Amino acid sequence: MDLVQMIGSYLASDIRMATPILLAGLGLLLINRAGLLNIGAEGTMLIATLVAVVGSFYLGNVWLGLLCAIVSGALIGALFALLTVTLRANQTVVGAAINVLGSGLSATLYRIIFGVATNNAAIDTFDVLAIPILKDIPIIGEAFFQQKPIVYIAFLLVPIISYYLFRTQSGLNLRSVGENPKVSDTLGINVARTQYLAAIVGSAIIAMGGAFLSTGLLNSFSEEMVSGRGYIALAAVIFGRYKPTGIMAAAMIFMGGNVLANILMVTGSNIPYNFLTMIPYVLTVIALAIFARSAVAPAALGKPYKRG
Amino acid sequence: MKKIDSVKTKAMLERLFQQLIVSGSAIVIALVLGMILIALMDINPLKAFAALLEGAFGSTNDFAETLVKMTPLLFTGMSYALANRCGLTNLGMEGQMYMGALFAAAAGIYLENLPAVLHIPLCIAAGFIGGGLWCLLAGWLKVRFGASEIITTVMLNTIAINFIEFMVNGPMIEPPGINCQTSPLLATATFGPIIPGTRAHWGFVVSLLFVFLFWAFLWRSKKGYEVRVSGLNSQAALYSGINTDRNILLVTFLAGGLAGLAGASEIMGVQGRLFPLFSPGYGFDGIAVALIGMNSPLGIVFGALLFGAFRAGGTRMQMRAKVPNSIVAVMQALVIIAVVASQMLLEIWNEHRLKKAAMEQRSVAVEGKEG
Amino acid sequence: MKKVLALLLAAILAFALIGCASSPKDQAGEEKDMKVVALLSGVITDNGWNQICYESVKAISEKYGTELEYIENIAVSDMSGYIRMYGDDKYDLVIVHGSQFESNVTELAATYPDTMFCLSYGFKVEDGAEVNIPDIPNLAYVGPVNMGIVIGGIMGILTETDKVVFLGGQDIPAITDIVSGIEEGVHLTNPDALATTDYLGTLTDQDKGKEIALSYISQGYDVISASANSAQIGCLLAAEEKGVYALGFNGDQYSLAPGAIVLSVMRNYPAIYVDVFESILNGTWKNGMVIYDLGDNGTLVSDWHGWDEKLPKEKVDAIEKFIEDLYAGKLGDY
Repeated sequence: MDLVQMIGSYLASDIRMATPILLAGLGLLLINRAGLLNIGAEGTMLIATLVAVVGSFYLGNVWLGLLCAIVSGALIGALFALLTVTLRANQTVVGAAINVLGSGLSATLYRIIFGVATNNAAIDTFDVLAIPILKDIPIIGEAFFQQKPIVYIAFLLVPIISYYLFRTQSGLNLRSVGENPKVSDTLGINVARTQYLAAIVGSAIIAMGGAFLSTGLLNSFSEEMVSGRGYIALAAVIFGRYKPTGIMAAAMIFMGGNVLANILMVTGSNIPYNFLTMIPYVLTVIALAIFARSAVAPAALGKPYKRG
Repeated sequence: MKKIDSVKTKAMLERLFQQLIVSGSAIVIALVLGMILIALMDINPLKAFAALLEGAFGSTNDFAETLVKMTPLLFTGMSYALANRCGLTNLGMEGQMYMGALFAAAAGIYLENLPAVLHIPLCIAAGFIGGGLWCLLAGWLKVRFGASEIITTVMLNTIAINFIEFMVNGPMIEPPGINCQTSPLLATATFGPIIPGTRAHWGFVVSLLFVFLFWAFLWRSKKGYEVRVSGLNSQAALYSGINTDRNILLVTFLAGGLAGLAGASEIMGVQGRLFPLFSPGYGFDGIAVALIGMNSPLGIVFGALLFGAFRAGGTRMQMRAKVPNSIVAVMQALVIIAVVASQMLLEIWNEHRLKKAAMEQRSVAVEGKEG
Repeated sequence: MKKVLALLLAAILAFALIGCASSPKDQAGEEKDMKVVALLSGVITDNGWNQICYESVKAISEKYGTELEYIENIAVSDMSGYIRMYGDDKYDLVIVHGSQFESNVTELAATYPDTMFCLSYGFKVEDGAEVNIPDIPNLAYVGPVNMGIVIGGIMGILTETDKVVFLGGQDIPAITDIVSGIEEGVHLTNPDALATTDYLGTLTDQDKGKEIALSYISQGYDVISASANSAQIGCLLAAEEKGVYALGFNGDQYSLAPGAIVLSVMRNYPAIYVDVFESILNGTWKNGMVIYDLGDNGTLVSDWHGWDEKLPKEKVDAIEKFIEDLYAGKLGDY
């Protein structure tokens, strides 16, 4: 295999793997920008992986499965907002509870619905959507133009969310709520409503990441299949300096660590596999250390807002 | 003046009482929801609940199991609470626990020819240092680079767990290297049972001792006062000359150390050697324990008892009523959500009441002047 | 508020009643008094190690009417508690499924002489000698061996590029036992082939398994097999996607990737544990190391599922001959 082709295929691999992180990161970004700190992405994604499979199985169409997953994410987002906005509960604790809930609930429901079968039920999944002509460009052709539809959606969401956050009034309002809810309130912005919407839409996007994992990259649900991606997405938001483009870069760099680990393994290096497994996590910690100072978190992030 | 004091105490007691009732009912509601879920799975919920209670408190042996599970939960609960008191969020108890276990195991296996009176404290210290250093790393990253400890501690979990797997499978594997586990700890480094014939071990007593130290540090020492002040308001702490950075480093070390002791006590009291993936998630439960205990020493004891009973009873519930393990996780999540919601509801309700009372008082005062 | 509470209570009572009403069903199968339980480190839907043990207790329960009992997700630090409980309850057979629990069982088994304990693996055969097996009358170390030879041999025949890879989930005895036999097996049928083995570092992350397998395929490996519970599904999907051969493992995994899985090599734990259970029934229980060689049906090879039509004739013949010879002991002492 020649070098150009190899680089192309590793790049494609990187983009595939980065997509769930990117989607989760973008969802978290909306939530964070509204001043809410949600560490429950892992649990939200886990539930979405299952719901997408169930939806695709019963409705016979993977897009409907995706829709179901999005609705499930929105519901979790609403629950999160109810607890943290209306009741002003500790956001970290609620997020942690969502993770436990997601793990337990997805496993329980899976078993109620599918029982204990040796082989997974066949479901409709996403197919590769190659874009004519562009797909043949060397190196980037395979990576950027021979992917599944959700990959395109995820990368299209980057400019869309960027535009929304930084170019629209509604986006400005959302950011100002995250920076200073009190001032926003006096300016007539409905803080609670903004935060509710951010939590619901954001969680729905996070859920898309989960759905892509189970019905895009793979074709079934298995327990704990999200395997820490929700946490990596948290770090990607900070490393990406709370900007959609930054998150995109962060997701690709973190998963680049995974690609590197795979290359090291395949080329027969003698590094114990435990250390290869650590690579993306170590990379994340280092990236956080280097970029944390320059990442300006929303000023009111994680602080419950009390009116009056 | 005295009158005001007694009024204050009365108000505080009343508040505590309220909290107890509200948290209690929240837990009941969560359990009821869990039982409904169990019923949906075609399992008799009453049978399940009876098994839960029996498994936690049914006999001496059952209660001993509750104590076994309470021990690490006390440590991880204190770990989360201590960091939280300083305004930090430690989500890395699981990883710190593994590092504590690693250090304690190393001390317990390789330090030979020591009397137990020396060996046990050494192992405890090693466990504390192992967990402490691992969390201190997150604290240092925060102070030096401003990296959020919420995320670094989570990342460090995976790293620690993989590192322990490597150590146990490689350098520390028990000769001749069949099973991935270390050699057993020397007899001088293990906790014996407190109740003969059960698994409840002296580590439980050690954990209670640390609950006392936890209290003494936070409420009886100057440093602890500083920690609490900087947790309540870091700006104010800065103005009053408290070095918040140094406090962060201190607290991350101590909090990590406490979580490390959870691992050390498991190794020294329950397993007698180190395995990869030994923890059933005590680290994460610590969050719930601290939450239910509202970061206070007695509350943590109560929270640890509740979750310890939950784990011990959950075991029996699986055994007798065939309730799948995943339901236990769902019920735990429901308990956390219900408790946190109820605490906030109470706070909001009290705010309303205070406002109302203040208004009434004002009107009484006005009336008094007039009379 | 009161109304809501009343409604809620009514709902619970209703559920409880439904629960009670359905309970007589449970008592129907109580002709036998034998009690069996499987203690598992993971979940019964893991597509691998724990699921196969679930199938085993299910097989016992179907054949002998015992109640189907198992406990999932047991961490090492909790295992002793379970062993005590089932020992106190005088269960007849307790299957402890995983060598990580060895010290828990060896410590406690003697305390409960009425209960037979089965530890899945926990042994290692080194140069034919048994290592590390304590002599406890009611404790047996049970497991099939030489699966790696079977898998390796078939892989050696299938490969065109002379590069095959087997991926384990983690470096634990139940997996290492297979990994260590792969190279030997491959070289039985194809001395020139490169037999690579490595570990994924996960048992749950399917996508990671898939990406690692894809990396190997891009390096020219054309036969893939794995033992990594759910993560191994990812490896099979990668083979399907890239059109290379794969071998299923643990159960018959054909339907997971019908375009890639030529055969599945199955750890025949169901038959093994039915066998062990029967040995308790008729008093032929054997303690210590109870190894199931290829000849003892410890390892099975699945149906072709039509692949005998799709593969070149000489490969089909070669594989069938290899399996026959291997099981007959003609290729060595397996």
